[in-house]
Amino acid sequence: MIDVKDLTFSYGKDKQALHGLDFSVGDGEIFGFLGPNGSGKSTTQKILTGILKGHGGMVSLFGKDIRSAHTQEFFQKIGVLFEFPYLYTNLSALDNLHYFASFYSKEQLRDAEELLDELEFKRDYLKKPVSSYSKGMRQRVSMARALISNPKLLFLDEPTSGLDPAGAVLFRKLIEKERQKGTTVFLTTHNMLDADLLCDRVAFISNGKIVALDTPRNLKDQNSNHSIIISYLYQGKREEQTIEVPELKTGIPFVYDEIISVHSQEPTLEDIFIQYTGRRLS
Amino acid sequence: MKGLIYQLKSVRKDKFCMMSFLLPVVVAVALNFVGSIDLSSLGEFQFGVVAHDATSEMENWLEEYGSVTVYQTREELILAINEPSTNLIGVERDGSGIKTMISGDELGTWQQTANTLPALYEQRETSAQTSMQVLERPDILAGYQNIFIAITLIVAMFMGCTFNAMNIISEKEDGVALVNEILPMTSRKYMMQKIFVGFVFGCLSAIVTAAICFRLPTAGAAVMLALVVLSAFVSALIGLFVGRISDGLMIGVVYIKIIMIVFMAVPILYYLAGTGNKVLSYICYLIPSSATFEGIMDLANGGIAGKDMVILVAHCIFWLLSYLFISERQKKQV
Amino acid sequence: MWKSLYSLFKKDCRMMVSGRFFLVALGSLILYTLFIHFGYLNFMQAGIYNVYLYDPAGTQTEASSLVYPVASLKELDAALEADTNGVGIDASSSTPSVILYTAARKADQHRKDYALSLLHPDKGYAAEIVGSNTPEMKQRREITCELLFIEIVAVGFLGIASVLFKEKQMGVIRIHAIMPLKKSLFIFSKVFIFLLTDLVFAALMTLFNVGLADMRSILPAVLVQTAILSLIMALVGFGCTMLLKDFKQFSLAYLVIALFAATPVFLSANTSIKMAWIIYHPFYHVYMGLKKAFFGVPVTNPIYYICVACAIILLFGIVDFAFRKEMGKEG
Repeated sequence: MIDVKDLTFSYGKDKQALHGLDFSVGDGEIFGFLGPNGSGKSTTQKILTGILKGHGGMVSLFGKDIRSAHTQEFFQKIGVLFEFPYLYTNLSALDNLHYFASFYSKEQLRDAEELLDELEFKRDYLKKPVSSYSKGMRQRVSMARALISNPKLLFLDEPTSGLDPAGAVLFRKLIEKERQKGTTVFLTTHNMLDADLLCDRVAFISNGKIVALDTPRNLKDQNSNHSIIISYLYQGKREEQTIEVPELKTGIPFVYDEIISVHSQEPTLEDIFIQYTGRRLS
Repeated sequence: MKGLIYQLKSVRKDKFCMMSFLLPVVVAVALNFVGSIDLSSLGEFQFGVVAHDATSEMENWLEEYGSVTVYQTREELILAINEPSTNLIGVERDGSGIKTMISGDELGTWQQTANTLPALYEQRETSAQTSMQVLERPDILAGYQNIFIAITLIVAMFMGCTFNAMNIISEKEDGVALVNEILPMTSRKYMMQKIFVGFVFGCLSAIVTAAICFRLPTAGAAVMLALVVLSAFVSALIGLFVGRISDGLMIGVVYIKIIMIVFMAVPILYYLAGTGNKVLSYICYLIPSSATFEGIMDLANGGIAGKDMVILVAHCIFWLLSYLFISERQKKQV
Repeated sequence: MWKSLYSLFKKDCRMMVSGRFFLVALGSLILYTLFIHFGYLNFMQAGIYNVYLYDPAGTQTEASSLVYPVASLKELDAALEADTNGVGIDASSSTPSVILYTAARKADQHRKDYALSLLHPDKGYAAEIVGSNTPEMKQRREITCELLFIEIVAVGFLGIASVLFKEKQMGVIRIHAIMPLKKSLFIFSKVFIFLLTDLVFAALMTLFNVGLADMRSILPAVLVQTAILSLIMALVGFGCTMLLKDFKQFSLAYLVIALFAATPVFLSANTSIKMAWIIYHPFYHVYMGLKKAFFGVPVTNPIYYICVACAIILLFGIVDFAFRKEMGKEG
C-alpha cells in the first residue's frame, strides 16, 4: 500500500526534518509511527497525504509514485484524522459531516447518523453547533469525518488524544474494526498504549530517522531482560523476589507460604524507545 | 509593577501595536513635508477653448479667473465639458464677444458663472478701472490643513483605545482572561495595568505627531500636552469598555471602527456645519474627541482651549466612574 | 467539479449568513440610500457668491435682483463679516468700489468682476447646454459611484477577510487539502459569492439612487466595472488572509489600503487636483472606469481590459500559491 525509500525533506536551508526514511506498509496493516514532538511524524504524514510537496527520495501509494498520485481519485480513497479536531464551529455535527461527505461519490459514503452512533456521540447534540461541544465530542465528529467515505487508507494522528479511557477504548475498537474490513491504517502517535494494543508493526522515529522498525512483540522480546517479580507471603511477612524466567523450569526456587502476584519485567514500548533514542516519547 | 514590564514586552513584540502607534506619526510627516499639494486650484475656474477660435486676448482675459485649456476641435471640447470630474466651462468667440457652453449638470456657482461670463467680457475695461479693497482673513486652505492635522492627532491619541481593546479581546480568545480571574489581583490594579500601556503609547504617539505638526509657544505646548494626556486617558478607558463588551476579535474590530469613525466624523461635520447652534454643540461634546478637536483648532488659532480641557476632565471622571461602577456590579452579580 | 463547487458555494453562503454579512450589506444599502436622498442632495446646493450693495444715493438703477441692498457701510461690513465669501459694493461715490475678504487671487478677480456685472446685468443670456444630465442627476450618479466604490473596497474586502480568518482559525482549510476536490475551487467559490453579492448590491444601489429610467442605459457597463473591482478586492482580501498571521494584523493592512489607496483616488477623480503619479495608481483607473460607466461613457480601450484581466489572473495565481502553502501549515 505504502512504499517509502530514502525519504528526505527540509523546511528551509538549515531545517532538515527527515533524513532518509525507509519503510513500507502492507495492505490491511496497522502501522504505527512513534516519536516525540518534532521528530518528523507529522511531516511524514503530510508528505504521504500530499499536503507537503518538495520531498526527496521515492514514495509510492496505491502502487503509484506520489508525485503523480495526488489526484482526486487518490483523495477519494483516503481518510485523514488530524491532530486537532478541525470543524466548522458554527455548523452542527451533522452539517459538518454532510458538507465534507458531499465531495465524495454517494456509493462509497456511510450514513452520518449511524457513524456518530457507533462513536457514541450524544444524540441531543447532533444539531447543535460544534462551538458547544466538549473536546471529546469534537474528536468523535472528526473521526466520523475521516471514516465517512469508507477509505481504503486511513491516516490517524493522535486519534485518542483528548478522550477519556472509555472513549479511547471505543476508538481502538473502531480502528480494529477498520483493519478487519481491510483498511490500511497509518497511525502517528506518541501514546505508547495505542501503539502497543493496535499496531501490527511500529517504527520509532527520532530526529528525522527511523531507529527501529518491528512488531511490538518482537521489540519487547529483543529488549526484555526475561525476569519476573514474585510477591509472596512467608511466615506472615510480605516479600518479593526477582528471578530469571529459565529458573522456573525447576519450579519456584525459594520457600513461600502463599504467592500473591507475579509481574513480568517486560519493557514497555516507551522503555524500548528510550533505549534506542535516549529520549522520552513525550 | 512586574506585570507592567511584561505588558510592555508584549507590545514590543507585537507588530500591530507598533504600527498602530507609528501610523499617525507617519501621516503627520507626510502632511508636513510631502503634503504640500497645491490646493489653490480648487478655488479656480477651468475654461476650455478651441484652437484657432479663441483670440489671445480672450485667453489672457480668461486666465485672470482660472486655467485655460486649448482643445483642437469643438468635439474634443464638448467631451471635456461633459467629463464628470471637472466643471469645465467652454468659451467660444461670438463676434466681438464670447459665448459659453456648459454640461448642464454643474452646481449653481458654475452655471451662474457661465451665464454671466459674456457680460463680464463686455464690461472688462470698465471693471478694470474699478478699485478693490481686499480684507485679510485666515487662509481657508491652511484651515483645511489644520483639520487634517487635528484629525491625525485625534487618531494618535485614540490609538490607545484600539490597543487596549485588542489586548483584552486577545486575552479572552487565548483563555488568559480566565487565568486573570483566579489571580490575586484587585480590579483596580487590573484596570491600571490594562490602561497603562495604551495610555502611555497613545500619549507618546500624539506628542510626537504634535511636535512634527505644530510650533507652539511654551504656554500653548503645555495646554497641548494637557489635551493629549486627558484625551489619551479617556481613550484608554473606552478601550477597556470595548474589550469588555466584545465577544471576539471580529466584533471588537467592528466596535473600534465605529468608535474611530464617530470620533473623527462628529468634530469635522460640526466644524464644517458652523458653530452657531448651541444645542448641537452640547450634543457633539458628548463625544470626547469633539472637545479634543475644538481644543486643537483653538490652539492652532492662538487660543487657550480652556473650555475644552474642562470638558475632557469631565469625560475622564465620567468614564472612570462608569467603569468602576460596572466592575463592582459585575462582581456582586457573580 | 460542479458538485464540489455547489457544496463549497452552499457552505460559503452559510458562513456569510452566520457572519451577518448579508445583513451588513443590506444595512449599508439602506443607509447609503437614505444619506443620498435626504442628506447629500440637500447638502450639495452651492450658489454663487452673494453681492451686497451700499447705494445711499440710489445711483445704481439697473442693479440685478440678485444684489442685496444694505443701508449703511456698517451694515455692509457686518454682512461681509458674516459671509466672507460675499462681495460688497460701495456705490456711495461716483465710481463704485468693491470690498471683499481675500480668497485666492484669481477667485478674487472673478468675484469683483461678477459683482460689478450685476450692476448692469445682461438679461436673458444663458450658456449653451451640451450635456444631457441635470445637476441632481450628476450628483446622484457621482455619489452612488463613490459609495459603491467604498462599499466594495472597504466593506466587501473586510467581509471576505473576516469569513476567511474564521475558517483559518477553525483550521478547516487544511481539511480541504485532503478532500477530493480541485483546490482552486475553494478560492473560486469564495470569490464568486462576493462577486454575486457586489453585483446585486451595485444593481440595487443604481436602481434606488439613479432611478429605473436612467439605470437601463448604464447598468451593463456599471456591472462590468463592479465585477472588475469586486474580483480584485476579493482576491486581495483572500491573499491578505493567507499571508497575514491573524485578523489583528489584517485590520492594520486594511486601514492602510482603505485610507492610502482610496484617498488620492478620490482627490484626483472628483476634484481638479491632479497628481502626476496618479496614473500609476491601479485603483484610479478602476474607479474612473466605474465613474465613466455611471455617466454613460464606458471605457472602450482594450488595453484597460487586458491589463485588468492580467492583474486578476496574476492575483489569482498568487492567492492560489498562498492558499496551498497555508494548507500545509501546522494547526
